[in-house]
Amino acid sequence: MVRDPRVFHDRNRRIVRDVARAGALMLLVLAGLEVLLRTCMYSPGITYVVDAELGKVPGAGTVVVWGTEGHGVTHYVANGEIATPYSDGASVVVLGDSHTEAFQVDDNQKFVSIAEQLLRQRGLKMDLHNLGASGATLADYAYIAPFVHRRYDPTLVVVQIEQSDFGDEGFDQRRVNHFILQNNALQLVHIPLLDSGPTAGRWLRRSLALVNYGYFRYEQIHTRQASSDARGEHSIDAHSARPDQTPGIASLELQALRDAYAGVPVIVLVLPEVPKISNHQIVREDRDYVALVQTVLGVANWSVLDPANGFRDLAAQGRLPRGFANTLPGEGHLNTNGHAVVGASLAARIESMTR
Amino acid sequence: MSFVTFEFALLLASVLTLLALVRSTLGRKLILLAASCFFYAYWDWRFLGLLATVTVVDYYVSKFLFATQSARTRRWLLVISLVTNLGFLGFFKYFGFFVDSLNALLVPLGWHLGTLSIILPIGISFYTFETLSYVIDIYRGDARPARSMLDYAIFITFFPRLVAGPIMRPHQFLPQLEHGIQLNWANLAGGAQLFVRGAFKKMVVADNMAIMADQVYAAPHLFSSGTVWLGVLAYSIQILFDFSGYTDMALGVGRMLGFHLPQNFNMPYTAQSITEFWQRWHMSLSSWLRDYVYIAFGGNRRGQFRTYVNLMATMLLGGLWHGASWNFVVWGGLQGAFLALERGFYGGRPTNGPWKSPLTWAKATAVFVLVTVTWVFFRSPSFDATGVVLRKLFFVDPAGLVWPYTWALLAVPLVVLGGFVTRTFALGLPAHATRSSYAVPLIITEALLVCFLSPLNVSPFIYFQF
Repeated sequence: MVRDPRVFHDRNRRIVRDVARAGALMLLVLAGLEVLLRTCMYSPGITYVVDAELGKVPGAGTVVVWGTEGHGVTHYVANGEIATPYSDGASVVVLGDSHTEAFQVDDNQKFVSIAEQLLRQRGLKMDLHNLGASGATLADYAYIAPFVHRRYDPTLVVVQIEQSDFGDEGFDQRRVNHFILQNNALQLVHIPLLDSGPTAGRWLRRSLALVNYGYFRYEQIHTRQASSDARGEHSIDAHSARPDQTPGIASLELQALRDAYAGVPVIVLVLPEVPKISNHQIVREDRDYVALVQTVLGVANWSVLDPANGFRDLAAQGRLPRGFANTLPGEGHLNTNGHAVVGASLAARIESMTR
Repeated sequence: MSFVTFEFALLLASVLTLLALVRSTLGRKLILLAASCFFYAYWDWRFLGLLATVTVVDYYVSKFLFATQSARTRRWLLVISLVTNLGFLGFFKYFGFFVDSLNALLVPLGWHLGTLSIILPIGISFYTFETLSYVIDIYRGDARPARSMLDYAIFITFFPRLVAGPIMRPHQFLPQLEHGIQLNWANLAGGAQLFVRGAFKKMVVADNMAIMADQVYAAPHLFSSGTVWLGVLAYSIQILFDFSGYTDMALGVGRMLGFHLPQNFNMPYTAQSITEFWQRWHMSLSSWLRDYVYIAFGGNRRGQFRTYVNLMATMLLGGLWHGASWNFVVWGGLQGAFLALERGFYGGRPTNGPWKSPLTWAKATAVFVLVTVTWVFFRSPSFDATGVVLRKLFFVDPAGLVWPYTWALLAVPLVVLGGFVTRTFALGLPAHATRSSYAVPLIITEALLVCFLSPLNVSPFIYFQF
C-alpha cells in the first residue's frame, strides 16, 4: 500500500506547529513567572564580592527583593552595607545578623534607619551604618573589628545579639570566622576566602529569579531534611562536650567582643524571642533571655538595650514584634512593629549616650 | 501512602510499567489487586484482613442473593451483609464514641465503663458504603453480581479511590473492569493533567489555607474577630481544595490506569441554596445518602412533615458518617434543618435564579457564609472551641491579635467571586485546552507552581480521617 505523501506531510506540519505553540506558550508563562517573582517574591541571586576584610558580602549596588517572609526591598550602598536615609554625621556602626539586615522590610523600615531618622528629628546628626548580615556570629563581629575602626571610625558601635547567637554556629570550623575553645580560652580563627569564580549555575541564579528561587526551595527542603536528621543525632549526642554547652562560654565570647571593640562605646542590643505564641497562649516572659541580659551586663561596662517592655506593650495592643502577614504570627524575624519598637529604643539610647 | 509522596510516585510508575508489559486481562487485574493491597497495607497491614473479610462475605452474599428467589432467604442474606458491614464500621468508628458518651452520663452516678483505644482503619467509611451499595443494588434487582471474586475485590480495593472516594456504585466501575484495562497515551496525559491540577489544589491552595485555619482553630481566643472570620473563611477554602484536590488526583490516577471515576465536586460555593450545595459538594456521598438512606426512609412520599424528618435523619447520619463526635452530629443536624427549612420555604419550586441577577449573587453569598459558619462545628476540636469561635464571629471583639494572612486574603475572594463570575458568564475551558500544545505547558506551569508555592509541611488530607 502506498502512503499518501500529503497526509504524511500534513501530520508532520501539525506536530511541528503543536510543538512550536507549546514552546511559545511555555516561554510566555515562564516570562510571566519571572516578572512576578522579581517584583513580588524573590530577586535573582545576590552578587557577592569577596571583600578582603569583611569576607563574602553583597556588593555595592545590589538590590534584594524578598517576599517569602514579609516583603521588602533592600539596597546595598557599599560592600556589605545596607542603605539608610542619611549619609552624613557622626559615624555609628550597627553589627548584627538577619534581624539587622532585615530583608523582610524595606530599607526605611529597618530599625537602623528608623533610629537614624528619629535622631535627625531630635537634632542629632548621626550616620548609622547598617552592616547586618544573615548568619553572622560574634566571631565575625570580633574579626571585622579592625576594619570597622579603620573604615568607619565609629563614635559608637551597636551589636545586635539574641539567644541563638550563643549556639554552636560560632564554633563551626567550616565557617570563615569561628572560635576554638582551648584551655578555657577562646581563640579566633579566620579562614581566608578565595573567590571561586563564576560557574554556569551561579550565572543562571544571578540572571534568573526563577532559577534562584528554585535553588532556594531546594535548599529549604534539603536544610529541613538535614535538620530533622541532625535532631536525631543530637539526641544521641546530647551529653557530649559541645562548646556551646560549656558553662560560661557566652561570657568568653562576649569578652572576645569586648576586647575587639575596646576603644569605643558599645550598645549591646539583646533581642528577646518573646512575646510569642506557644501552647495556644501568648508567652511574654523568657527566663533564658533575662539570664542572657544579666550575662551581657556582667561581662563589660556596656550599655545593654533590652526592648522586651516595648514588645510586651505591642502584644497588649494585639500586635506581635515578629511574624508577617504571609507567615505565622510571633515567629521568625522582626516585623515592622518590632523594628519600630527597636528603632525607637535605639534612638533613645544613642541620644542619652551622646548628649 | 499519600498521593503526594515519593513512595506513591514509585508505586504508580511500577504499576503502569507492569500493566504495559503484561498483556493478559487476568495478569493486569492481578497487578491492580496486588498494588491496591500494597497501597492499603502500607498504612497498616493488619486491616487487610478486615478488607478481605468484607470482600469475601459480600461477594458470596450477593452471589446467593442473585441466585435465590426466596424473599425470606434474600432478606436474611441482606441482614448478614448489613450486620457484617455496619458491625465493623460501628465497632471501629463508633464504639469509643458510644462508650465515652455513655460514660459522660454514668460518671455522675458513680459508674464508669472504662475505655478502649481502637484504631480506625483508613477508608472504612468509604469502602463500607461501596459494599453496602453493591449488596443493596443486587437485593433491589438494580445490579448483577461481579463476574468473579477478583473483579469484586478490585472494585472494593481499587487504590486511587480506596481511602477517600469518590464512593462508586458497582454499575459505574464493574463494566469498565469487564471491558478490560485500557492503557493509552490519551488516558495517561489526561490523567497526569488531572493529577497535577489536584496536587496544585492540595499543596498550594489547601495547605497554605491550613496554615491560618490551624492557628485560628487551635487558639481562637488569641485572635481578633476579623482574624477569626478570615481563619474560618480560610478553612472553607481549605476543605474544598483539600478534598477536591484529592479527588482530582484520584481521578487522574484512575484515568492513567484506564478508569473513569465520577466527579465529586462542581463549584459548590456557587450554590444558591443548601439543597444545591449538596448537589455540588461530595456528590458521590450525597447521592449515596439520597438513594440508600433518604429514599429508604420514604423520601418525600409520606407527607410534608415526614419529608422534613427524613431530611433531618439523613443529614444527621451524614454528619455522623464524617466522624464519631457530637460536633459532626450538630453539623449534620444543622444541614438537615437548613434543607428542611428550604423545603418548607420553596416547596417544589426551583431554588435557583438567573446568574445575571444581583439577587442571585446575594443568595449565593449568603449560602457561602452559612456553609462557612457551619464548617465551624466540623473543624473545631471541641465544643468549647466552637463556642469561642462563634462568639468571636458574632459578637465583635477587636481585642486579640490581628493577622491579615496574605494567602487567605487572596484566595477567599478569588475562589468565591471567581466561581460567581464563571457561572454568570458560563465560562469554561475552551475545547482545544486539552490538546497537548496547551496541556503540556499547563501541566509544567502547575507543577512549577506546586514546587514554588507549597508550604514545606504538607498537611494530611482532611478526608483520610473519615
